[in-house]
Amino acid sequence: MAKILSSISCNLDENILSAAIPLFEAEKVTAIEWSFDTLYKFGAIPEWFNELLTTFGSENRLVGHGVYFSLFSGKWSKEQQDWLIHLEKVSTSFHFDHISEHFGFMTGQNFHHGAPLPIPFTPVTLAIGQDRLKRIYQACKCPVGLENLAFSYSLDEVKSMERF
Amino acid sequence: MKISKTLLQAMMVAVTAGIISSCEKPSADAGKKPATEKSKAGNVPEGCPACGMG
Repeated sequence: MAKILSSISCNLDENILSAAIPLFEAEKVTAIEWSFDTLYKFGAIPEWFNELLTTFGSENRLVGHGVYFSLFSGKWSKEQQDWLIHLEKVSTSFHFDHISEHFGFMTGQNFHHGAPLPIPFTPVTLAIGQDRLKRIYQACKCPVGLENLAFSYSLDEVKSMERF
Repeated sequence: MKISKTLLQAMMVAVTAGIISSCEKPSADAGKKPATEKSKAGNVPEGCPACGMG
């Protein structure tokens, strides 16, 4: 079994970083996850955050996480294409151990106005998911995984996702 | 994992100085506008980089 690393989600956020600084100081953080697609409100990445990502990336301890791709959306959108272009760009700047995205679909940019939705487990949906995962891989050139976080209503549903 | 003291200090400065924030803040004139159906629903953050969704 792969060694489990103590990791935190680390984004450009005051509250997260306030909580994380003592852990970084104590050298307790062995990997970080960065939600690379939540930067659209920022003009640029601050130099110090750039250094943080580079430091962990150079040790294969940086995970890139996506929130807004909407993996299982049936209709290919300009937003998804732009998302892939952005991923390709950040993947040349930072070395990701792997990339993850959410299992489900969510086309509204602001998820506070509409929860992400689970998917019907059909061959068509499966084909869409496989196609999108390939596209993500082509953009980042590293392993791609799925996170089921907010898309499950029961343990049985989580298990059915695994089978799917 | 060890990170440099310089980097740690830069992070502390950014947090202390409030250079970064959790969510986009409502604009100054937001309160002057008539309430819409959406705004009646509450002060919903836009583009939150730190939500549990991450």
